[in-house]
Amino acid sequence: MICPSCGYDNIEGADRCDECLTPLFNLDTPQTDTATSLARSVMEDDLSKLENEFLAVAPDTVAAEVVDQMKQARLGCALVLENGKLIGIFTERDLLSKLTGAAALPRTTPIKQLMSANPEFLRETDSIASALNKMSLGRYRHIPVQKPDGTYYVTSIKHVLKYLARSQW
Amino acid sequence: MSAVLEPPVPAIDKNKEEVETVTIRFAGDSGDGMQLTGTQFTNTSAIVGNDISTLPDFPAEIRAPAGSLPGVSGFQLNFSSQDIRTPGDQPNVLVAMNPAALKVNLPDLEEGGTLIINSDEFTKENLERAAYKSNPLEDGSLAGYRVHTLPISTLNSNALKGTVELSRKEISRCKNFFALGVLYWLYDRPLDPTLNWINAKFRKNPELAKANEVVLKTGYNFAETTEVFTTAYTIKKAVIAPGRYRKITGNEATAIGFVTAAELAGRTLFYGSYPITPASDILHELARHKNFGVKTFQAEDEIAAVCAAIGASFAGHVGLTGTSGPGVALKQEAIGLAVMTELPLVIVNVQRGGPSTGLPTKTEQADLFQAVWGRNGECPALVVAPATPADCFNMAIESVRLAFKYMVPVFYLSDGYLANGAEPWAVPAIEKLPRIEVTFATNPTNFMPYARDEATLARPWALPGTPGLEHRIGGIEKQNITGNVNYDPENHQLMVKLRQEKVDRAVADVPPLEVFGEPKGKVLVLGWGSTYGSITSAVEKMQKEGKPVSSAHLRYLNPFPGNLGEVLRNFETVIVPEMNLGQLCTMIRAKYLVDAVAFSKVKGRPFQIREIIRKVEEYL
Amino acid sequence: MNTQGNGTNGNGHVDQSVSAESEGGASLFHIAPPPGELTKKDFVSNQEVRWCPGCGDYAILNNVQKVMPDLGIPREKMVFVSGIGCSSRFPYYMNTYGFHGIHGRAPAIATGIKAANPDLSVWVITGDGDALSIGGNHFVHVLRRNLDINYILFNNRIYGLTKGQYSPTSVFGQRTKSTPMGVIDYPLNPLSLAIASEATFVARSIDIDVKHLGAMVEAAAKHKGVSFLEVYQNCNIFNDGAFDYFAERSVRPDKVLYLEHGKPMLFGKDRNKGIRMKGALPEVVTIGENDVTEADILVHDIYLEDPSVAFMLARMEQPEFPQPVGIFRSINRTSYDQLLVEQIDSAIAKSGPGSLDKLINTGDMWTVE
Repeated sequence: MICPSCGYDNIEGADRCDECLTPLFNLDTPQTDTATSLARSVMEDDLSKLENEFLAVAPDTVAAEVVDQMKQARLGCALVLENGKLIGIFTERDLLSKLTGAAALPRTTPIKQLMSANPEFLRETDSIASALNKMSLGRYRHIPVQKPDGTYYVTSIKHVLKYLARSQW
Repeated sequence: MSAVLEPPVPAIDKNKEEVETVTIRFAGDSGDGMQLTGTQFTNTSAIVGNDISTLPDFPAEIRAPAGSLPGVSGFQLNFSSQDIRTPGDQPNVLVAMNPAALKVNLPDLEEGGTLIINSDEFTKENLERAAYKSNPLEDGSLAGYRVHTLPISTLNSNALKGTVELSRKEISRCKNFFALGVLYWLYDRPLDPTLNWINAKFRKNPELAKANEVVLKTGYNFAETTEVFTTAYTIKKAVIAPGRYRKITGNEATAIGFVTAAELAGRTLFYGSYPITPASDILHELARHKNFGVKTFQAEDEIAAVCAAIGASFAGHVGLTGTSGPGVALKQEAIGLAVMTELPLVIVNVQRGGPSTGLPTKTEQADLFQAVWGRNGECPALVVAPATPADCFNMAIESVRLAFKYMVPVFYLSDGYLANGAEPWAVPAIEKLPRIEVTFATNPTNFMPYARDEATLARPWALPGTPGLEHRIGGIEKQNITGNVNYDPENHQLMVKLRQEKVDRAVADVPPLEVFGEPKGKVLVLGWGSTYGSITSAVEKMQKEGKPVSSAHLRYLNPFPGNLGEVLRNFETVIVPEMNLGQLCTMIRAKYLVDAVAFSKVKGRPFQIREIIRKVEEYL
Repeated sequence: MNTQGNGTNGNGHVDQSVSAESEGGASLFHIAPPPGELTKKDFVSNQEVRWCPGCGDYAILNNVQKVMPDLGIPREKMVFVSGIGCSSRFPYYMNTYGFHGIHGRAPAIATGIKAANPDLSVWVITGDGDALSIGGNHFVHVLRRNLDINYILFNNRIYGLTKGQYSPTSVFGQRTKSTPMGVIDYPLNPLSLAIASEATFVARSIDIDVKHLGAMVEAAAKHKGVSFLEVYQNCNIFNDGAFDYFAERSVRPDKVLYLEHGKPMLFGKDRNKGIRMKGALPEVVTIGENDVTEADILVHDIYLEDPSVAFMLARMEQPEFPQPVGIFRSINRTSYDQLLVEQIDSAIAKSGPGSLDKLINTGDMWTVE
């Protein structure tokens, strides 16, 4: 085992270099290939491993109010819940397409008319891979997630990226 | 070099405090280079004139997963302006490079001790790996300590950003030099010795050398300029006898000692051994000295190892075998053969926690009975035990000298603490080391294989290949003088007594026991083996307070020094601290009829100075 | 006290064997006249031999003492090492250096002696219990290391010294002191184990075949590297006649195959039976029957590197096969003791002879003024 620091040729399995004491521990144990490790993790880890966010509004809340809340919370997505049930989702994209430009709807419109109704959602026990799948096929950046107790939160591409960017694979 | 942190304005006033002794423990994952860091700090401290004593704490597993508890590697160092003999009872400072290191080592840190923590490694995964339910940096559990959390990994990589062509992994490996730099400032150490070392060792890798240099200096400057540390500590030079010194561990000294002994005797060294913790390093070290003619033989088992050593001794080499407790148990029948054939043989036992497989990496001294009495029949052998890592060198030479002089096996009892601990060693002048005299029988006229030397009762050493001296030896009882197989009852009793007498006569070569302190008093603390450091330090401390306590340390355990009885009788109480249940204590009680008190500690750890002080005070 | 005595006065059985002639031709067993001044008498010690009258060990002792002078090795360079057992009393009766060690450990002691002084001629004398039971471990390793020593195993298929317990080579079902209802172990074949342990010289002989035994001892001594010789030895007290079924004079020609290098494997009173390969396995054939000619008979080659044939021969047992004796295998490999010396020499050539000064003054050093 050639020491990476000083070049000394150590006998295989040496704990540290005989010449300079640089530890050789991490160099002779097989390192998992990042790619396979990553591929395995997204399949095995479920959505509970991702961080998430939560902002919910009632269906009759006016658009201006919803936008205001989103701005204050610095979130790009609001869930529309009626009696705890998920009936719609309103995101930055909806805001861009429906509330701006020539054909903009009035800001007093109740959100239930502006939201994307009956959105797709995932369960917390689903894998991260399925979130990636949904986001890429459906071109979403936000996905509602239902917890085992029936409540919801939102996870987004931002949270997936944070998971992928961790240093150890 | 990019300094990330600007010195705050206005400049902060830093204090400099003088302290006498500091104990630091460096702890991290095996891959963090704590041995390197600790060794560098130690060497620098030695160069500036402090007395040093170190003890590494190696990981329990061979290759544990990164960040896990069994993968924690530690290095404890005690440095001082005084004469010190132990690596410190408890660390004053704990440098923890990851959560697992903190978890494992925090219980040893003194109350109110200083913690220097690499906060970057306290991630969710690492905390989980260290079995932490909550983050100790946040949950208040470190309230009783002086905690300094530094994002060492980040500071390290920032320091090197853009300055060197190294991968992220290589940069990350430099962070231990950052920690070292911080500690160098904290304890007022110069950077030059380490800088010189970096440039010497890494000259084949200039990018890495530059990186380590940069990081070392950044760490130092960081500590100097930020608010994190307000006080630096100075430790004055110790009063040390002038001379040339080197750092040495017990196992190194043991190996070098035996090579030297063979040279001093003008004979070839034959080392028969079988790998066993913590003695394997002796085999590794000796195997590198073939240019001294040293023949190392890794045998198929412990018994083959000692038998080969006996065979080599029969043929005129220095017959040496080395092992730990379980190995000695296996070797005893063969050692009995060496006693019966009256051949020189040295058996090194680097004692470890027992019984059975016990605690391979922990220290203990519970093989004394085994060495003195562990064979079938009346089977006496000589027993010696070094007291410090450097003393291993002296006692190695001594054991060979005794084996040759008395034609008898000699046990050399070291232990895990001595084997791995390091201290400064005043290197001897080779020319001043006395030769070991050896004479071989050559004259066939009236040659008798079991004729005895008048003084020592040793029989002649007649080497195969010598014309006219052909004779047979073996394990069956021998007739005195002729060496023929003999079952005569009178002869047997005579031979049993002669073999005992021969060992007893070795007392002529045992220097009188020296007492540290007053020759008479209330308490005598008597020890053997590696307890020397703790006992002497404890007794010295109490003597400075005027307490009537003295100490003495046995390096020869069979036979005892001739004046031991007298020494014991001069004290009201004799306390024997031992890492066993009272083996030496039992021996001296039996032989000298003295009501000695056994002070046992069988925890796989050496005695702390305070433990001995507390025990002695019960009798003052 | 011990009486002056010559260890060769056996009775009956022993006398017969001394005058017995072996089959197989004089060429095999020609022993050259002694070249030097040493004679057999020089090798006889002053110890009175204590083996039981009629013991096969006498024949072996006699033979070895006869062969010694012809080897051209000075007496002071000879060392006999033994373990525990009747066979292990051997060193006391040889007027050379001797080491009667502990049970099973002779090979290890011999290793130390030879490694310390490769100029010595080192002999291990052991028995089936000493070598294969307690000494089984050391057996394998001394052979595989190829120490240049001579290893003679006296196989009497019993524990004699301790008065009659079974040994690893005892026959299945044998009634002994410790197995009154019969041995339930399957026995070990020492030659198989020796070949499996990579021994570079493997041979077998019979205690009562004096000429053959002498030739085998001499061949073993002359082989460079470890020489393993199994000797079928009769214990007339605890296992009498154990080998009679093939070794007894009248049946021997038909039951024993004398292996000779370069010669076809023939046996039988009329030398008309032989070993032939049938596919992967050997078979016994008769020349003249079923068109078998001498050309079909397997020719013995002791120098084959591949041990398979030697192993196959070692497995041959009565009644299906004759019991083979002779040299099974003799190949050349550098011995351990030679390699040991070579390594030391090359270390000295590379780093110069060891300097204590350099040894001590290494590592982290500093000076205190």
